[in-house]
Amino acid sequence: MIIDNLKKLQNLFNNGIEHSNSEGSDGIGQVFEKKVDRRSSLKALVGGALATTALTGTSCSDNKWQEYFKGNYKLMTDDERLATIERLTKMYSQRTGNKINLSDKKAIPGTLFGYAFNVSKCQGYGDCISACVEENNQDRDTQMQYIRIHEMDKKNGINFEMADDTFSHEVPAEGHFYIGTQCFHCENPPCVKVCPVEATWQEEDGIVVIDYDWCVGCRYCLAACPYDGRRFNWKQPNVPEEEVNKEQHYLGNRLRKKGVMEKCTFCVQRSRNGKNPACVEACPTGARTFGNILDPNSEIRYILENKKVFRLKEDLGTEPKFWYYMD
Amino acid sequence: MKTWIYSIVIVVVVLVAGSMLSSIIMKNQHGGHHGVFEKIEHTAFNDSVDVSSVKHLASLDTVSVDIDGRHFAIPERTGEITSFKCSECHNEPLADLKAIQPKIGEKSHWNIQLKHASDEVMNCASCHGNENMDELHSITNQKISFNESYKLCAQCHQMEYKDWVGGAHGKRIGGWAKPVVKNTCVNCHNPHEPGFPHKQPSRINTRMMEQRAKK
Repeated sequence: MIIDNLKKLQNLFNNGIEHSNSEGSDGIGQVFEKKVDRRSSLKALVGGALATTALTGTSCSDNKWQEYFKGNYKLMTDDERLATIERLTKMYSQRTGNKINLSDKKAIPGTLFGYAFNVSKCQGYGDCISACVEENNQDRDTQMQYIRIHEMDKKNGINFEMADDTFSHEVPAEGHFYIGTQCFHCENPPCVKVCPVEATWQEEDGIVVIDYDWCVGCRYCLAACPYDGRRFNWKQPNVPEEEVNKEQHYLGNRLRKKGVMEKCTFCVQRSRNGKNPACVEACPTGARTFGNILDPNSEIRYILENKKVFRLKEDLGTEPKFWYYMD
Repeated sequence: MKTWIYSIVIVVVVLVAGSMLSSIIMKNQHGGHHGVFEKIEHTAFNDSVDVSSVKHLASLDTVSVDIDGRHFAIPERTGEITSFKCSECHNEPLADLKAIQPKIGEKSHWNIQLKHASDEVMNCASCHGNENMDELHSITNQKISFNESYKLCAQCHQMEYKDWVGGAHGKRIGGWAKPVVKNTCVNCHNPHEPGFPHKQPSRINTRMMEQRAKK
């Protein structure tokens, strides 16, 4: 009886995965998409719960099954982290025949990442946005973008209400200047405070990350962020297989699924390897500077100490690690 | 009369004590949320951060620079210039070359347009030597190697130069980690036409309002 129920639950769950596989998802399957009547699903779930308790300790080789019941990444032991990375890598290659290099690299001791944006240098080219989308495997269909470039009329000064965020004309336009925004990785992040399941948190190097497999999609963080820094997957993200960036990090650019939050991670897969985020590397005008704000000799520290820097909505006390300055 | 004084003293004492207490409470609350600058101040930095950008530099040829106690490297330049050494053609003074082969003179460097300050301020000879074409020269006619062309730019662009040395102007190569390698002036600015062009944005967004759920 218990085994029966366990199988039923496993079937229900696997069917869910197959369904979402056709749309190209990894990690937990989209069980919500599977249409089942309330009675049978309840029966299966209750029975399944009993069965799992009864069968604790028995080895279960099914990757999908284990993926489904894994814990919050923040609370996992190193072995558990390695195991889930192995499973996700294996599942990706089973689905697509291709290999991803999924990293679980931790924060480098002695680093606290900060970012500076030179308002006088930005020309509105949008090369940063392009590089970000390609690097971080963002959904192509909904044009999801972590970075916004706001075109501002010089007459109005820095006024986000009156800015044009969807310009498509030649840039820089006469009488206008450009300001980029993205996740500011606040030192005091309101998005982290409101998450009811602790699926988002701040790492030791100051990067605010999301466990895409723990996020329940309530979007409280989206509402709490005063900077329009967070994005939600209203649909299954679509990235053509040949365009998928295979150099991934568990907390960074690995493929997401429908119903979860995502945002800029300062390209955690790059920055923890000493590289600059993709936006910084792509900017042709040098408007973007990234570095370790604990290092007194870093470029970012030079900017903080020698330029007249400001942050957005400083009065909120969110302490963004993203500064603006002008020449 | 005395009770009057006593009651005033008591009120004052209560007020002072109350304000002190509230300031202590406020301080404690403030201690709970830390600012970035407090964190920087209270974290000792020992410069032994375990990451390097060497592997991202590939086999880039560099020249080292040492200015105001800042050490970094810039890409080697002479190897990048397509027709270096210049003296392979410029084996005689320019005027003589023009007299001998006027037609060749017109054709060579046809693609270079000088859009850098006005004619009154600059022409080819402001940077390029008349006699030694393999090197640049300063206002006072000191030789400057093509590899150190930033010295030439710094003659006028002092602000940009200082910011470049410090890190507020320009761009790193390889990444944020050490060793510090950064673009030199001419890696981003064409010295003959240093301004950035007007162009179409490389990616636009037509669905931002939907994403923000403000339908």
